[in-house]
Amino acid sequence: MRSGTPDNSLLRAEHLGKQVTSPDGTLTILEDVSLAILRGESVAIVGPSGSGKSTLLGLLAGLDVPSRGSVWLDGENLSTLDEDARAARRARRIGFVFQSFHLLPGLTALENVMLPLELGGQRQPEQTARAVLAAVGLAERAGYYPPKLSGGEQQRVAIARAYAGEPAILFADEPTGNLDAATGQLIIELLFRLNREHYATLVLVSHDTQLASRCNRILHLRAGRLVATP
Amino acid sequence: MMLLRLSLRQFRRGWKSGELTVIAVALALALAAVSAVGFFTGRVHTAIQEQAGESLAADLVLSSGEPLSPRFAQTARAAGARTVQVMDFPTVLFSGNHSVLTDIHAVSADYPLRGRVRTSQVSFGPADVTHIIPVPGTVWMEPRVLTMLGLRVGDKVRIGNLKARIASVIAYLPDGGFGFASLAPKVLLNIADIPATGLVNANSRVNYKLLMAGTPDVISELKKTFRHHLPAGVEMRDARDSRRELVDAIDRAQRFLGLAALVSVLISAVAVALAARRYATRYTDTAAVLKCLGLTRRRVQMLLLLELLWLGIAAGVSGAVLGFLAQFGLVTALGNLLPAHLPYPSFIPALSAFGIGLALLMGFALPPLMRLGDTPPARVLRRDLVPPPVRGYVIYGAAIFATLALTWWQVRELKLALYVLLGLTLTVLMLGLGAGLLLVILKPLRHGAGAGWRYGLANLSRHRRDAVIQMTAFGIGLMVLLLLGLVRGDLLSSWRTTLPADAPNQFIINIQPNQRTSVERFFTSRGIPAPPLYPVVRARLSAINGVSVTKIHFRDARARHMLDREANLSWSQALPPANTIVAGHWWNAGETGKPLASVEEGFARQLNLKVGDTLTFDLAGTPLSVKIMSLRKVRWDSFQPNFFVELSPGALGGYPADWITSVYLPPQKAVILADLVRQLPALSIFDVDSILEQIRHLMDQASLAVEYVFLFTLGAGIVVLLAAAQATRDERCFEAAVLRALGASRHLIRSATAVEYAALGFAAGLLGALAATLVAWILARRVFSLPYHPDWRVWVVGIAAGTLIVALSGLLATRHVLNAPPVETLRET
Ligand SMILES: Nc1ncnc2c1ncn2[C@@H]1O[C@H](COP(=O)(O)OP(=O)(O)O)[C@@H](O)[C@H]1O
Ligand SMILES: [Mg+2]
Repeated sequence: MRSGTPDNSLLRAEHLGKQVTSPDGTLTILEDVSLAILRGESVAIVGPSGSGKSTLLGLLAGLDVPSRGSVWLDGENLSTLDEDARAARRARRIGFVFQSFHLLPGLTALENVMLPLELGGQRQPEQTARAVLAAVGLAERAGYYPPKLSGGEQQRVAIARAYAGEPAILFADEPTGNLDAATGQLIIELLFRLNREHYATLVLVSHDTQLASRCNRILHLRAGRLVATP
Repeated sequence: MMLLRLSLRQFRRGWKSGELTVIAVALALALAAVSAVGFFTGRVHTAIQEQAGESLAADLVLSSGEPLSPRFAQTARAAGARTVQVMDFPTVLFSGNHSVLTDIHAVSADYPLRGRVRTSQVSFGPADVTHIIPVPGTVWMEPRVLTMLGLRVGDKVRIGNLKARIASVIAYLPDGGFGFASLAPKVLLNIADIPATGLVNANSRVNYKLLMAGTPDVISELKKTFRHHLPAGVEMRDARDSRRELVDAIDRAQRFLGLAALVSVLISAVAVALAARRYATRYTDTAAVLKCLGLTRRRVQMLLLLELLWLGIAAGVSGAVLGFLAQFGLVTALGNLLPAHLPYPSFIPALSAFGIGLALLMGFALPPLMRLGDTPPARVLRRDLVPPPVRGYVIYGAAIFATLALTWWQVRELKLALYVLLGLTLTVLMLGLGAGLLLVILKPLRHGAGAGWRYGLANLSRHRRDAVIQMTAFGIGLMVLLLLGLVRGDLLSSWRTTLPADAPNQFIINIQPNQRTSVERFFTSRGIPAPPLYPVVRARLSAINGVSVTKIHFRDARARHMLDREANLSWSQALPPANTIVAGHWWNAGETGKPLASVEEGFARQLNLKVGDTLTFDLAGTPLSVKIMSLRKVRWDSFQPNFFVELSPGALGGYPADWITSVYLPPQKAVILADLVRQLPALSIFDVDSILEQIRHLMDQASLAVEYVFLFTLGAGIVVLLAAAQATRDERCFEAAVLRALGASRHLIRSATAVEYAALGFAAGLLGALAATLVAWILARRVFSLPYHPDWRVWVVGIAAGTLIVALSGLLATRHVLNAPPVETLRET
């Protein structure tokens, strides 16, 4: 089902709302968020802490389901899919980079990068993974387990893992949030470089306006609503 | 494929990091206990199977309490079978002033017809197959006799009238049975020597046997011929029957040891459940990332299932290896009660151990792990999103189902399994309640001593549930060990103290009518009052109220068993001491000439007898009918000769009887009996004390084996402690770091930990001792009707062992808490 006129947007959200019930009643986290992101575009979602950025990102990436409204990815309504179907879309189309890296501690750097490739049923996951690890400058660290790597290195592995599966779209939630300024800068460079090389669409959440300014477009979130200006 | 690889990687990592260690150790321990029992009983089983063909030393055996008619042997030989005569009876063997109860196995030439006897020249020395039987005047005996009398080959022993030289030590008798089946060691004798012993007459308790061997055709022909012409009291057995009996015996042993192992399995299950819960918590992040990367719920669950499978296999293999090593311990503990040659075990017990391992994992580890499939992927954005909690009924349902399945598997009998579970549940409840109570009592104790004391006790009350679980787990282990190790001996000695100090301790049997005055004079001439002599006549009950007993159906299986054996009849003018009439009346002077009987009430109950019934006995062919005039209650532990059936003095007419008596002789005076035997060699003298000693020795050995299996229970308790320590590991590290950042010394933290675990162990020991005392009291009062004197050693040993074991294990389990640098710990959190 499509709504509105056909367009070439990769990701579209219409009237998204998210409410959660807590012991002290219903809490509205997001209200009436509509947006469209074009193929190859890089978009930053900025806003103060607690404004609902992560929640929005989760909804856009199909990690969570909205209370109201719907999300279209590649013209497919994610809200009508069940969790397993959404998982399949994530495996094929979506990459993630998180503030706290989220590497699997039980796997080496190389195995972490191989993971999405194997999940996607790729033929030679190891070769590809090694190439991507090399691209983030960690060829020598392939056999290391995450706890033995520095924060910056872990995030580079995470970026390699995110791009290894050639996702159509990459979601990054505060990718530099846990890193010092210099390392953060390096990570940003890497993220944008890979995004260019892989022709991917990038949706980035940050409260760092400097980082956001490198994107094609900035969306401002305030208390769960998109606003025109900061 | 990909899941397989991933699960292997995760498993390898989890294994290396120690996250899975506790589950693995718990599993391995449980499986070791189970497979040790399995391997051990399997070996005995195989030994029985291997020797079954020869366990009768023949193909077919006729046996009877009376001499077998020579007709049987003639028929057998005419059919082409070979035959051997055997006489078996218990007797006391003398050497100097020492004596020991033995089983005489007197055989004729050609014994054994199947299998071979092996003998050696020294106890447990190199054994050789022999093709002869002892030459007249010599005996062969099991090493136990030699040990008990301090004899060796070449020495002389006295059997009744016969003085015989020990010519060989028996290493193996095909029909020797297995030690655990017989109390007394075997002595092999040439049947030609029997008259010389003077021990056998019409009233002796001898089992006469005819061994036969031949081709299968001959044997099956003989079986057919004999089956229809067997007189009452003659029993026919073939190899299959005898194997069935042995297999039954070993099955009972297996079930019993299996129960002991089950306790370890169930305590290990607690450790598995605790550890699995923690593993699931630690795994939640990984599950969230995997789902975020596109793994479906089913595949996350599949992944965990595979990991559990690898864990099960790894623990199963280590458990089986451990169990294999541990079964040698059982073999050592039971030592000479076992067949001399035990074949190597099959691997079947290892397989069943795997099954048990999987059941443990499925029942106790799977439920908390399976719910990880429902981890919301959005957890990668918000740490506080957790998978929905597992429903209580899933967790408990799985655990209860697994417990039932495990118990049934070990016990193989529904009713017994339910009883065991009921008993275990009650014990756990009792210990759990006690533990809860102790924690309440401990709480106010916290104020008073130093900081280490306060923190240690505070820690206990904070993790109240964990503390209760640990106390209960240890308490059970300590309880069973205390029961077996100390209380068992207490009960036996308590029983002995209930006996009057002058209760007869020597039984003299086989006194011939013409020897009665010699025996009486023997005692009176030494200043000992002559003990009363009682007549004994052996007879078989053949009919009740004119109906043949073979045609009567008895509800109680034991009744049949009683009828198969011959009964001892006696007669008396007056009601014997230690007897009271409960129905009817004792015969008066005018009735003593009539054929009357008085029957012991238990005997009457089993055979459904009442006053007025007529009993017909068969006295070596002569029928005797008597009318029941009264029922008696007998105090058996008076150690006076007592009889199920007493007859009126005139009932037997002139039928010849043996006489028996019992007398109390203080230990230093007992040596005079050697003189009596020198005078009247055909008397048999049973020393109650030394027989009790033999029984005690047997019980000691058997319970050593059970204790050995229960040691695994204590091990399982330690693993529960490890699991609980691991579950609070992060919290402990954090607290220790905060304390140390605030300036607390390592010493303070160590002493707090020591106090915590020592208190835990103290409580567990206290509970174990309490439970052991309670169970002992119930056993003593309700089951054995004995007074129970609480034993202080139970408390001292229980509390000391509990405190020591738990404190040491606890300090070991938490040593990293001390070693973690505070800065790192604080940063990590
Ligand atoms: N599942 C939830 N339950 C309760 N409160 C939530 C939940 N998800 C988000 N919130 C609340 O919604 C607000 C927005 O959260 P979030 O999207 O994480 O903001 P941001 O990423 O912009 O800091 C916060 O106040 C947060 O506490
Ligand atoms: Mg956020």
